[in-house]
Order: sequence, then structure tokens, then C-alpha cells
Amino acid sequence: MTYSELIDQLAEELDLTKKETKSLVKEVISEFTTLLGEETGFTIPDLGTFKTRVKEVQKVYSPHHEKYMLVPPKRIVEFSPGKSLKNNLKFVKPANE
Amino acid sequence: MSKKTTFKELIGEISDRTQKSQTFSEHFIRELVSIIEAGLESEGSVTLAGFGKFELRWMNERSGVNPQTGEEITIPGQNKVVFKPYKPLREHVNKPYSQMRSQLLDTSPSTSAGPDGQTGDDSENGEKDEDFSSQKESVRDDPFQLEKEINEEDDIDNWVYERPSPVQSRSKQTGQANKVDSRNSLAVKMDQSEPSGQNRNRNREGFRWSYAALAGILLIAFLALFIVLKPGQDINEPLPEQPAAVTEPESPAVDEAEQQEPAGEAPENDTGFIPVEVEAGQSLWGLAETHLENAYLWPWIYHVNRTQLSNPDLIIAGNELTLPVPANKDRLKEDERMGVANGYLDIYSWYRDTDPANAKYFLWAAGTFNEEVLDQAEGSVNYNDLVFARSR
Repeated sequence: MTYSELIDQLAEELDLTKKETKSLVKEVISEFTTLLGEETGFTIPDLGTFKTRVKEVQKVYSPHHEKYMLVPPKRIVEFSPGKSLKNNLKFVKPANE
Repeated sequence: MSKKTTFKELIGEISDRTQKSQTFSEHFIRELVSIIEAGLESEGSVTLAGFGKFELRWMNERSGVNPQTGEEITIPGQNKVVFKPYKPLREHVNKPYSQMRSQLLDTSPSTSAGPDGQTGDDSENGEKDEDFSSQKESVRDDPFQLEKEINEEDDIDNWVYERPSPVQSRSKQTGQANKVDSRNSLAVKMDQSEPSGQNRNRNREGFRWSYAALAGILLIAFLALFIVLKPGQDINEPLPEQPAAVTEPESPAVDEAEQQEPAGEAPENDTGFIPVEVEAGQSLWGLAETHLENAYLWPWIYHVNRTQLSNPDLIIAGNELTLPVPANKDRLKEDERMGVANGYLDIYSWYRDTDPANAKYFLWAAGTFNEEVLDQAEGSVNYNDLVFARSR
């Protein structure tokens, strides 16, 4: 489902203009991003939990250089789906597949 | 552990941001969720621009074990929900580590069991290898040192350049990250853009250099001015606007040493006129400073000696000038001021030929000493300059 499809459906459900839903969704996303930027995790009921985690420094082998190298640490976003979402979608077969 | 907010607080934030009621915001989010779910069900993926993509991925059937009973079971094939953050989100979240780069190691890294980080610039070339030449042979066979115990000498600290890492305090929040702390060799050049919520770490190294550079520049500027003024040649000190502070320098001392000082100073209530022979290295500015006790009055000298002098910046050694000395050095009389003003006027006229753009400043200066001179000069000066001079 593309972003615009999502906005369209949302606007219809909520009886709002597309413009308005778009800006609202943008705000929500921006809020999520800010929270994650501050390392604050949050849970959305029936969707899942977003949180951040620091990926440790790793020693990897680079075949190109034929040497080991150290990859610097990194902070990433982790999402774990909520139970209802998981269960509902376990065995569905989406049309595109 | 890292922070968490509740759903309620999240709703609160969103309500604030969007100026909607909390009820509305909650309803909005829940509706959004249901659409995401529906989208996943029907099409297998849902994109949120600037944020990320929710996807369904198929996991094939596999065998497993029931943890409680220990019996073997087959885990059926199924979907899993996966979220893939997009670039803006990824970059925003990784900001504190954004400046770090990977670093190549020599083929036999002598790091201990825990992985460690190092300072890094992009080291795509093999040049970095020289830094790690202190590694031991024995390590080559066992790069991960699974067999060997940690030896003090192998300690990464010995051969890794350590810099205090702003990352430290941040990573104290997660237990695992403390391993990195103890090695403490990750350099972070934080960009100046907003740091994440809790820790406002700054790059201390950067400040020192900028202070040093600033000090250096100031020093050079002072020296330059110094050099310009010290010989005090026939270059006269320029426009009245320039700060007097730096320009007091050597000329008085030089003058004092070399000049023949006529004994008499003027009687109290009258402007005095003393003859002075110009010595090499003197300037009108310097002479004014010494005898008139105010360098800014140098045009007065120029005016009084107009017949002898043409270029106000050039006085010749051997000239005999008459210096007008104010009756009261702190408070010039009207006609004394007129003299100064006229001097500036003369200079203005001179500069009109050589440096018309700056000439007006002299006219303005003339006006500051005595406004009348501007009125008197009205007919014979450039109109624009006069306007400028009056507009102070």
C-alpha cells in the first residue's frame, strides 16, 4: 500500500480532507522520529513497539581489502510487532505475493 | 535501560503538536493502525513516507523444539511483520555516531575478546597498517583470540590512540555498551547540529583550536599595527575614526628622546606657539601627541604650517614647524578648535585629489571640532561630502 493510498483511506475513514490527514500523519511521524532520536521507546496498541538499540562495534572481514576491520557502533531503530498484529497476519496471503 | 513513554503521553504530545483534542489524536492513531494492518493483509507492505515501511515476510516451515517438553516440533511456515526504517529516520537516530568510520586492521588484530572501537578516518588504503605493527605473532593464528587469555600487553589501550569519547555517558545506559567504554577509544567528531535529548556533549577539541586561531589572528593584527606605527616615519596616522588606543605607541617615546625641547610652554590663557625642528621618524601625529597632548589635533599643526607642508602625510626632517599649543589641553578654546577644524578642512581638500572616497571623513572630522567651518566651507566643497559631514 503506498503512502498516498494510506492517506486516502485514512481521510475517508476519518471524514477529513486529504490535505489535513497528510499533515497530521506527517506530524505523527515527526513525533515518532523525535522520540526515537531521544532514545525514547514507545508502544502503539495493536501495532507494536518502537525502540532504539545500539549496535556494538563489530569486527568483520573485508574480502575486498583482505583484512579485518572494525565497524563503528551504530544506533538503530527496532520494531517488534504487537501480539494481535502478529497473530492476525501470520497466515494471510497478500494479493501481491 | 533506555527511556520509554506511555501511549497516553504520546497522545498528549501529538495533541499538543497538532492542536487537536486528545480524543481525536487517539482515534487518529488507532485508525491509522487499523489501516496499516489492513494494508499489510491485502498487499503485504505499507509505506509511511519519511518514516519507514512495514512489510510481511514469509518464514518457511522449520523444525524446532518445544522448550518445555523438549520434544521436537515443526514450526509452520508463517508471515512475520517487519519494519524497515527509511533514511531520514535512520540518520536522525544514528546522529551521535554519524561521524564514525570503519577502520581497517592488520590481518592479525590483537584485540581482546570484546570488540573494541578505534578512532577512524576513512582508511581505505593500507597506510593504517603501520599503526598496528606492534601486534604479536601468536595472534595471527588465532585472530579472535579464542584460546588466549587477555594479556596486559595486548591491551588495546597501549597502541590505540585514545580520545575522550562523548559517547561514553550515553552508552552508560545500556549494560552491554560499557564494554566499549572501558576501551574508550572511539573518537567522535560530533557535528554541531542538535544533539539528542539527554546529553549535550560537545567536541572539546574543536574549541581549543578555534581559540588558538583567534588569539593568533589577534596577535598578528596587533603586530602588524605595531610595525606600521613604530617606525613612525613620515606616514602620518590616518582617519579620526580609528581607535586611539593602539596608536599611542612609540612615537612619543621616540620623539622625547630625540627632540630638542624648547623650554617654554605657553602662558596659561593663551595659545602658545613653539618652534620645533622635525627629526627623522617623526610625524604630525606624533608631534601632536607629544606637544599638544592630543594626537587628534595634528591637523592643527598642518593648518598652522600650511605654507610649509603640502602632503599631510609627509613631513621632512629638518623642517621647522610651529606647533600651536592649546592654552588648556583639556578644553580647547573656540578659535583653537577652529584651527583644528580648518586643519581638517585643508586635509580634506588635499585628499579630494588623491583619495576622494575617503576625503569626506576629514570634512566630517572638521565639523566635529567646529561646526562653523562647515558653513564657511559651503561654497567650496563637494556637496555630497558636506551632506555626509553634516549628517553625523
